[in-house]
Amino acid sequence: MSKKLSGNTTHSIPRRISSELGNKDFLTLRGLLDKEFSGGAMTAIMCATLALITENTSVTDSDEGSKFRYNDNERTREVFPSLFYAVGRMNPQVGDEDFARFIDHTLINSGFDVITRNTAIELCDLMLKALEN
Amino acid sequence: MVDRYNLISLRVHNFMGVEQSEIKFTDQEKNLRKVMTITGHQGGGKSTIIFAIQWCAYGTSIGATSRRLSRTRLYPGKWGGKQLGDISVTIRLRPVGDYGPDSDIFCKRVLHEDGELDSLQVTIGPDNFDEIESKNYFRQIFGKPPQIEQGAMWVIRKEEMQRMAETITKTKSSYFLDFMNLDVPLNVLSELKSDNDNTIERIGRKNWPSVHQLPILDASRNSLRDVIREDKMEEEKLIKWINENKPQKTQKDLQEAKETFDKAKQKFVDAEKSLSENRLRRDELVDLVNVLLSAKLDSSGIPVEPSFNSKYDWEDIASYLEKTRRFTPNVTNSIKELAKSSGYDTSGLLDRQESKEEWIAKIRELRRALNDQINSTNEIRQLESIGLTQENLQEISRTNLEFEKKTKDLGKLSERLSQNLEKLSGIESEIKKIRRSETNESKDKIKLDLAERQNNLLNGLMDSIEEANHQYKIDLLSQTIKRVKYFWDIIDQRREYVPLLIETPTPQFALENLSDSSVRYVQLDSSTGTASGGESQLLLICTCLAVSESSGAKMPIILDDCFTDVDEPTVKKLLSTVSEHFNSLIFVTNYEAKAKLIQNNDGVLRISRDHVDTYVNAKNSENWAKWE
Repeated sequence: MSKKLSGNTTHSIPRRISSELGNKDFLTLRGLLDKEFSGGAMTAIMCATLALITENTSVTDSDEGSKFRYNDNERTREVFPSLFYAVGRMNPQVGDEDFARFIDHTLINSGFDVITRNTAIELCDLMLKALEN
Repeated sequence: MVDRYNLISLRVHNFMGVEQSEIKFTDQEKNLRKVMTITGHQGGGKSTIIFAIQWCAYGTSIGATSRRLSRTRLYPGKWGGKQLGDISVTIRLRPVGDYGPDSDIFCKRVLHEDGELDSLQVTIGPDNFDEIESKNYFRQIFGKPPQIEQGAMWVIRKEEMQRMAETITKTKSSYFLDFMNLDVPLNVLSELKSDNDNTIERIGRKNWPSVHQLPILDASRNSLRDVIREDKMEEEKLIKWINENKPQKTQKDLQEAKETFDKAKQKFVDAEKSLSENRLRRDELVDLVNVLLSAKLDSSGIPVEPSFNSKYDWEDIASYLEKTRRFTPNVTNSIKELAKSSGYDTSGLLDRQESKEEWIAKIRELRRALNDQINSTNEIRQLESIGLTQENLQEISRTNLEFEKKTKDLGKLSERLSQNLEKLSGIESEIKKIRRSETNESKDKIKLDLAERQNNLLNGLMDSIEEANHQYKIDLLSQTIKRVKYFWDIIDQRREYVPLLIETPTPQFALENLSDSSVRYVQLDSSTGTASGGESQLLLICTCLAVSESSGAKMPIILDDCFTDVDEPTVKKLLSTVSEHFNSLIFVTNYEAKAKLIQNNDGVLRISRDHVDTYVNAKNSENWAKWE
């Protein structure tokens, strides 16, 4: 698989943040969201984004979670190219063959780790830090 | 027994207008003057001499200032109404008969300056004063004292004649009957009856509580006692509950706590609301992700390249163009490079500066809302950790309200209990009063019965006494009229009338005309109080003489000139009759001519103030009273 991913790419999110089995607290980003994530695509994009802005790639988990495709949701179709672009630009060391796995196994899980390790206010602070730098 | 006494001397000290004087009623040879005249002008002191003798006999009417012999009237005028010394009068008497000076009786009455009552001392000759003997002699010489006012049956003046006229013409209490002590029992009985009448009226006026009320009051009392007993039990219960449920927090503290809690709760609600308003909307996440990635790329110094391939597959296009062979390989390779270098649509990452600012503000606001929500939540948790939860507050408030209600109930109950106890006390007092009044009523009934029975008895008794008095008066007047007729027969010179006793309807004396048997009643002159007409006056004088004779008094008859309508021959006969019958006479007159009417006169004592300045004293006494 090349570095260029399409919306049909299949990834997965940890079950703890899946719509079916996940924790409500995680599904609302510790209460920052007015409603829970619907579908795994947006959850995954948000987790990966958090991992990117915090530069956290500490967690790599290859366990199969809740699968999704980025085209599953009309809204996510609009944003996953921005994510893939940013991931590619910020992680040039990741080769084309590892690109999809890097997102699936490392960024999504590390982002989830950010959610689980921080409170709502801390998440705000992380976002503010990213925006204000 | 001595028949009568003659006056030997009269010694006066501080009595009316006389400071000091001694009048001797003996002649120069010390012979007794049995029949004498005291004469002198009006105001000379004749009446003073009579009063002095009379006062010596009967004393002063203490306190009765209106009476002629009241204490203050005795004082010399210069004393100014206050007694400034002792007052005394001494009469020396000698029994008629063969008696010498050793038998003389000295009657001395003294009213000391500081004394309450005057005193009479009677001594015989040189003997010492003996109180009991004094009383005996007093009775012998002066007779019974009169019941009303001053006077003695041996003094006959206008006043005595007036009262005698009332006696023999009317039925009311009078001098004559008083002297006989007739009306006294009747008066006492009248007073007793009056007392009984008062008792009957007083008891009759009393409004005794009805004993019929007792069963009703008893029932009320028992019912009230039951209510009180129940109320007391209820009171005990309430007190116990109140003691066991005293609120730990007062209502004020509770209110403050509730306000604090409500405030915190409101803050929490507000924070929740604010948070809800500021939470990230799910449809905004696409924009947020773009802004975050854009900002991160920017901060990492990675420029975002515009992208052309968001919608096209540049490799497919280059392959197609190669197949057409219209383009050089360089062109088609460049087109292929486009796909390599810019494989993703980056339009979402470009030009996000403005959005970034908006997101910063938005996330800050979200953070503030989150912070407020956390703080208010913590505040409520703190309050709850000290026991202030909404549920607790409601429970405490409910307990407090109940406590207040029970306290109010206790207050009301205590007040009702107090009122009922007071009411019970009133009922018990009323019951006691009725029971006590039963006893008193019973006693009063006995008193009433006794008074009514006594009155019945008294009415009968008084009727009997009045009847007896009436009869006694008739009997007395019957006996007296005989002596009156005796004196009348001797004294009367005209022989036109004769005294008569009229028995009915009112026993009284009158005169019967000898020629036509008509009756002439004694008429009183309303202005002077004296009887009008010589016959009427003579009838009164004769009655006075008859009464004096029966009174037992042994004093010389003192006859004041009170018979102005009696003709001269009759007066002459009157004087001679009295002097002979009573063996002594003191005739007092201010008419020279009348003074000479007495036959066998032993002397004329002339009373004159011609040579006396103001008061008679030891120096001028002889000038005041001179024997002629």
